[in-house]
Amino acid sequence: MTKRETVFSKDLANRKLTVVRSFDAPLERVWSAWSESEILDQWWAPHPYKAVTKTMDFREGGFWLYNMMGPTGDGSWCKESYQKINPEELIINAVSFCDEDGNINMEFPTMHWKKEFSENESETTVTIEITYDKEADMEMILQMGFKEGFTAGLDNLEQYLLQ
Amino acid sequence: MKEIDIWVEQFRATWETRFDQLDNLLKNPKNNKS
Repeated sequence: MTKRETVFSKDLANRKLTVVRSFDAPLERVWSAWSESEILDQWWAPHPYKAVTKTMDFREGGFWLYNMMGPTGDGSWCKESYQKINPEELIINAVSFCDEDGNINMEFPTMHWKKEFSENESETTVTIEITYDKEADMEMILQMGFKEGFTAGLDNLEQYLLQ
Repeated sequence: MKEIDIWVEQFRATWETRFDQLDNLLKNPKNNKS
């Protein structure tokens, strides 16, 4: 099986990033991987991080609260608040940084995610749109990513090259 | 390379790693639920 390509595009004028990826699996299984915390915990965090779910209530108005733990045990709490769910079709949610009780940290911007799922024969495609309210929000995330994530990105690249 | 381009590349690497992990999981149904 050949490695699938991730199609990535940025629309900075509209503060939007889009990620598209297909998987050799039926829609039902891909949907489960995005909606069940026991499966999300196994793949959501890019190595060497680990996602550890505290609570998951997958319904409109519910949320997923998890800790993105680093290799030294440090972590960042994240909250995905589900606003709209069409089973096996669409998830719209907000993503925020928070404390371990799910209280949102207002110092950091909230991101808005739209995840669309579609099936074509035995292949399932997931399209993710990430938008920010303000240009300043995107710039803050950019600066956080640049300062704190660049090393992690290089680690990911190293792991990828070792495969 | 501009700062934003470096960040975008890091963002891409994160997602590709994440999706590769999901690919591996989907190939092994027994591993779906821990």
